[in-house]
Amino acid sequence: MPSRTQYSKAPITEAIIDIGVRPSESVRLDDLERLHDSIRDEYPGKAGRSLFQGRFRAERTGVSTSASQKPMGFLFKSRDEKQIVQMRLDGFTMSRLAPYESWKPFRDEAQRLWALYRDVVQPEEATRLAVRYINRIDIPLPFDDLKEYLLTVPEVAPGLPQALSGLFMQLTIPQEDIGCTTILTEALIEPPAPEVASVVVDIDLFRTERVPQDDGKLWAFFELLHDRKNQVFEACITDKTREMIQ
Amino acid sequence: MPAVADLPPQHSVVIVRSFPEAQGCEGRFLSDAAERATSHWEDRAERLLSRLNGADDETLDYESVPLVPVGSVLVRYEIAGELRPLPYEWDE
Repeated sequence: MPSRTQYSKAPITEAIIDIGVRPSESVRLDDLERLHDSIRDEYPGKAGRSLFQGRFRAERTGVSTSASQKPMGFLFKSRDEKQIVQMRLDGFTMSRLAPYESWKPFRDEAQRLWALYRDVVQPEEATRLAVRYINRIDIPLPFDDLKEYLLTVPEVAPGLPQALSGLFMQLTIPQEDIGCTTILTEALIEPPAPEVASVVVDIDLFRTERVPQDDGKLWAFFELLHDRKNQVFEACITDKTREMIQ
Repeated sequence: MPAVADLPPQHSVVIVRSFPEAQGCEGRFLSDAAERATSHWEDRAERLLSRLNGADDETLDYESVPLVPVGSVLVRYEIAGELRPLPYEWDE
């Protein structure tokens, strides 16, 4: 896969670093809430995160339904609402919305907040590591073939009309050499202007087995995930797209 | 051209709900689209699988597939009060 250059108009709308955990049994929601005190200056916004579950059951005696709501943690937002961190009992998620500067400051901030989270939650183990980058590529209209801009696209039989008015495609691609999986999702979305068509290219790269537990190895693995994410993106775009975002 | 990876079937056919949960509008759009695609697929796959397993449609001891939590949502309810029908013009 090709290597990456830095783009001045990178189409990233959201970058995510995610660490799933099995928490220690002693950790409580109040402990997570207290974390806000140490980051309130940079992340004044706060909201609760809950898990909703529903169940429908058909038995000989009749049908029963049930639903439950379980508080799972908190979401803290920066003043400009571009940086959002979720601290939940089941994991830690850091999001950066556009404009995205670069990997290093994003990773450093995630690393700093993870250290605070880890000290409070004392996870039994990390269960999942993921980086996810959502890109929106605005393609000027008109164009003949999506392949002029993207190399991973659906193949429509030659006997059918080739124009698409809707697209949602999700591919699960094992990355066996690094023990990871890529979920590549592409979709047509509402464009910001009538003279372009917008395609979202979402790259979610994760590992759920043999997850590094030591902090040094964990963050070294994130470097690997990030590099591979860049390679996946580069492999998906054409030179025409590169010119657009250069 | 793509081929199917040499993995257990559930690894190659499952539509993945978007995770980790995104906060931007593009990510939320994808989550909704993935959710719709998942329901669409499960709706059909459930019937196909029950036929393969020789399930009898008459029995009522069907055990649904346990629901997997897909994420969390924040909702706000407002009580609108008593509702009345809208006025309707009767065209004689």
